[in-house]
Amino acid sequence: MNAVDSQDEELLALLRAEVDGQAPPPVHTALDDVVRRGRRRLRTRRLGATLGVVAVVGGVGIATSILRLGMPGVGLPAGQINAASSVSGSPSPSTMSGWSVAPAEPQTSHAATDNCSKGPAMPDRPGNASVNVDTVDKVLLDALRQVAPKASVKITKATAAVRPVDQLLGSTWADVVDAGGAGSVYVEMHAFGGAPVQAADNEKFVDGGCTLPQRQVLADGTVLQLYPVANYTPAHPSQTLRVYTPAHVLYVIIAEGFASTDWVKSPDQPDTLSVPKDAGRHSLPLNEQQLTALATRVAGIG
Amino acid sequence: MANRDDGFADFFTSRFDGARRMAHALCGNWLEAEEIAQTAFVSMYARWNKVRIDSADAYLHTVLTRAFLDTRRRGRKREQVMAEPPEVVVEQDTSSVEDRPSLLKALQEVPARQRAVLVLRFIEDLSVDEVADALGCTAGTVKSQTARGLATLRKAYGAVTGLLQGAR
Repeated sequence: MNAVDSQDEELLALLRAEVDGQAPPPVHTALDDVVRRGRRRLRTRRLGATLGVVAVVGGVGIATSILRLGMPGVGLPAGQINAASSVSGSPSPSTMSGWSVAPAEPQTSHAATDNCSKGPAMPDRPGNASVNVDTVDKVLLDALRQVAPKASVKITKATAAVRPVDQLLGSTWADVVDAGGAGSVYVEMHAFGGAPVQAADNEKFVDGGCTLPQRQVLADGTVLQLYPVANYTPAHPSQTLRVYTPAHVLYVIIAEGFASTDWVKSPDQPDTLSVPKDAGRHSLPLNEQQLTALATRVAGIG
Repeated sequence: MANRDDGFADFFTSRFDGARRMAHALCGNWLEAEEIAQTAFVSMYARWNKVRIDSADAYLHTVLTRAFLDTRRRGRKREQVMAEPPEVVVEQDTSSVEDRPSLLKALQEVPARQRAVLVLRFIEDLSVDEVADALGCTAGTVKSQTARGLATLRKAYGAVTGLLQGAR
């Protein structure tokens, strides 16, 4: 069936001519406004407000206050962990053992971009990876208690994707409160395709900067990729460590300088939440050593 | 320091006005069109790391159309769509709208989803398959919505002009 005949063509030609003849008013939208709203949306998206997800009832409302002076057994030695009250107090990745700069060129034949200004290449089609959010919650809490023994930690929101969007399998959020203030750790789980190194290559610049991230490859092939501190909003900086496991699950672990109590309804968009520009602890809740130790524990989930 | 945001900035600079024009064809109001275009670019920024440059235009069509359809689904027509009003009142050329029958005005009588199909197909010159991708529906649906949308457009335009009436 041809839905468009000659009379329709005439009509459409008139329509196109009218559209082309329009004299629009000047544009008032500034790039800065769009970027600022985009960054806010990224954070809102992390909260799960705009995703097709449901709360995992068992994972919500679990509040655990921990005050431990030492750390027995597993994890980092107590003496190796610094108080995470200041970003500037964190050792740089280059001084931390096990880290090296991610290669500027991809380590595989996979077509990763070498130009950070053009965005990453698309990863391979993801497999059928799955993850149990309850397990992630438990590991996250246990790990936080070990790496930040003086902090009060609790899960504030956990979600499992009903219909995965962008291969998102689920997410969980924990508040981390210590003497430096209230921060949080957000973990987002995605499926990915290809080898962990390929996926890590593709997402070297995923956080928007052009600085190569730091990388560790664990014995089982898991890739840890640590990104520089993002300081778009000085009151609540953030730092991301991405974990690519051989089970094709990506854990995006983000240490945030704000906590769940900092979310407020946007005055112009009452159905969304945002973190005010001046809210936050002005530091990260975990330093890089702590974040790395946490990521190593999470990587063990597979 | 160079930043990946530069790629987005280039895309924004080169595409925003065109996006606003497409939005205007969809909604018939320049202020609302600017908001829809802005919403689309905010959405694109938030997902920029997933967008390939060679498919960015197609993605823009998708998010812009969805932004428009979202406004219609919510049934809202904001009277104030910008944080601040324009500083200068622009005298627009409204002759095509006010002084003679307007197809753009008639287009606003077409149901929103059919209107989106018509704009994507015949103003943005997308193929049936590309429109189907943008709207997340089948090619068959695009064809049927095209036929219905054209019928409504003919009827709405004919009601104004007396032209084309009885042609069907």
